[in-house]
Amino acid sequence: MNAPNGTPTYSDPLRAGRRAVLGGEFLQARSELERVDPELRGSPEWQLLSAMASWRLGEFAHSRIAAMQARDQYRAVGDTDGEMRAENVAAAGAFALGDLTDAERGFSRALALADRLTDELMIGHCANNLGNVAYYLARYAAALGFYRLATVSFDNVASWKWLAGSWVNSTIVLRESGELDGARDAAERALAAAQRAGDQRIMGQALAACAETTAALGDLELAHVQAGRALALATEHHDPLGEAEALRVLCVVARASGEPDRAEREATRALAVAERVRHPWTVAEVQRELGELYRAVGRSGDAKKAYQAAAQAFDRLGAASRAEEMRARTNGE
Amino acid sequence: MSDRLAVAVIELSDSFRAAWDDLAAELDVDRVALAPDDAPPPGAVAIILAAGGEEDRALDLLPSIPAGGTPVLLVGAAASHRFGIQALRQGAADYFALPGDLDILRRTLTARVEAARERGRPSGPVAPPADPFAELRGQSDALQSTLDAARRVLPHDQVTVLIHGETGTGKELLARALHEGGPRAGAPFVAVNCAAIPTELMESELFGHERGAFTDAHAAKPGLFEEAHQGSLFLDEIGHLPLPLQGKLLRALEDRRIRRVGGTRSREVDVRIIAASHVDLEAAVERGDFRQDLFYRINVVSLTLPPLRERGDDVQSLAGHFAATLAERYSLPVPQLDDATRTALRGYAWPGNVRELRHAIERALLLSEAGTLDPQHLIPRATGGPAGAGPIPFPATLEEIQAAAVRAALLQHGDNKSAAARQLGISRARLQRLLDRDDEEQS
Repeated sequence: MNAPNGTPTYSDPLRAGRRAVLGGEFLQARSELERVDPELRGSPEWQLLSAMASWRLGEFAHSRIAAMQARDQYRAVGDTDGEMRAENVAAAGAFALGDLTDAERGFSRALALADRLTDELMIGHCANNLGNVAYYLARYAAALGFYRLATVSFDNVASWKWLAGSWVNSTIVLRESGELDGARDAAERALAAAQRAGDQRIMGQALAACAETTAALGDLELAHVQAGRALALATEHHDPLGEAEALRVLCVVARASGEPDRAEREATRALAVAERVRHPWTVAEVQRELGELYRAVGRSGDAKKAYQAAAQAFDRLGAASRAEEMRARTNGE
Repeated sequence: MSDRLAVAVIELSDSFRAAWDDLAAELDVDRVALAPDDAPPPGAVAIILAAGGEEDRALDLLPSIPAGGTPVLLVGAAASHRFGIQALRQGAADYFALPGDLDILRRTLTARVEAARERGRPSGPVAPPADPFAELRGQSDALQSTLDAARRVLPHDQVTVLIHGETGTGKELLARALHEGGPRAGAPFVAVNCAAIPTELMESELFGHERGAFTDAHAAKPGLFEEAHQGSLFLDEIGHLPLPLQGKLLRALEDRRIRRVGGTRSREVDVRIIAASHVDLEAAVERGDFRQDLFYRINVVSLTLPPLRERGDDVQSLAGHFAATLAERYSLPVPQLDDATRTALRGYAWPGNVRELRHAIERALLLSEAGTLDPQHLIPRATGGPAGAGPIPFPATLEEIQAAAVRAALLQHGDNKSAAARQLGISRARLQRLLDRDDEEQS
């Protein structure tokens, strides 16, 4: 944008970049940030915005470095709020790169800063992220504790969408811990929060989590309907990650229903979507599911390949115990 | 004090003065005039330093404005690149050259207002809902007498309440209603199910912990007491609290202070406790499983939620309510309850109470033809059990359990014997043998 006399105003690109990041337009944010005057590019805000955009574009290494530079600059000028946000993004970069130790350290520090600032929203985000780290490391009790803190914090500030997300995470962990009644309760809370948020994407994700719990409880007919609705919502609202997850759950339901062909079709579709959006966790989960499916129908060679692929994906994520579990299954085939 | 959001304006000149009122009106926030050495009021999303023609003075003033974290947006008339950089270096969050940047300023403020609105409810007291107990639906005498007692407790926000009731009767809903309808409405309501937390983690969940307090304490973590500060903490299934922790809870209630695990300083907490249990706590006290002093401390007011089977026609009205709200959730037409459905609802004891009813309605809604509630989908037990599945006598023999498992698996897979055998982990031939044996016994 130009001033009335036609002279370009100095900070248009930075403002435009900030707007684009906040609006979820990350490619546009990148191009706006590249137009920023070189003198301002070293500013902590530029670094942080650049880190946020890069993370969303899957450039985790660059994101992590930029966020760490922003964090150091904010810390140097005593801007605790900025430092906390940058620390959280830096830790998210470490998390995505599979450096769970560093991620945990960063999220912990961000949580301590958020606690000091009584920033409930950030307490929620940091606690949720720490829950994810604990889940990857198969520390389920710790994960649930952090998700509990996250749900309380998000509820305190009426942030329904994030609240729904934390309940979805709780559902997954409870189900994997065999706490099926708790998982069903958490799924119900996720659905209620998603409905309150009016966000159909998170509604779809909550429904997928609910469907997998329903399947674990043995009601395959209902699970199939719920997963189908989750898939429809994800497709309608352009949520590829939700789509991959719903397809994976459909595969789980089909396998439990004794329909291996349909299960394989759903898993193959899920894998294609997860790989397209470069989401290694979903890739690993689908590969694991494929391994289980092939093992159940006696296709040992295919099962071994799927378990190996899952182990490699978990390795890249730093989820060592899960990778180990997959390797043990590989050796069992 | 007002809970409204505001834009604070420090006017160094009267240039663009008309714009501030317009912007505030457009954003539906207050406009507050501020002197350069005034701190911004609570709820201020930004400070506008209006300096058209006084830009140099604004640069001098910027470092001394006691903004306290509220961003200062410098507004001037000079569309100068270098001046903007100077402003940022002096502490401005941004610089806008009006009139050209008015639209950008508007969008910046809009984003800040929206973020503030998303971040929080107003921090002060809020008006209680018209009927805080509206979510506890039903006209039965059993329910209404409990709600009448609960209404009498509403104004007393320091009184601890103990709620009794079977699983699924709505204990958390009642606790939330006591919170939302009382003086603490607007402050946090934190619900925790003591039965769902591993014993060894319970203390750190309630009181928080410092980093390194125990092996898995990789991060310092605030506890639920701190999160509930000035609000209410609902301790569901309080009977599951281990005895040592019961003592710590009692001390926290008496002293109104807590200390994080591994921490050295105590923190003041102002929390109203609402507890609930589905077991008889008095009996637990007699057995020595629950501290008597804690029991008396929490049992100041006791409320009992009746089971659904004792609530007469409430099951019908609740079913209708769930059908309507769940239909909205799933974008389905609202089904009517026909006679067959009503009969099925009446003919079942609902041991899981309202929660079970809700799940049953949800299941039937999703599995029935749109706009209907087929009673056969109201979970098998509600319609007397699926043909062939039959109840297992108690005590059951191994053969009876096997036969029941086979019938259930076949029912689940639409009589597909191969699928049922796979699910049970047995061969198809073995499944057939079990079926044959069952047929012989039936005949």
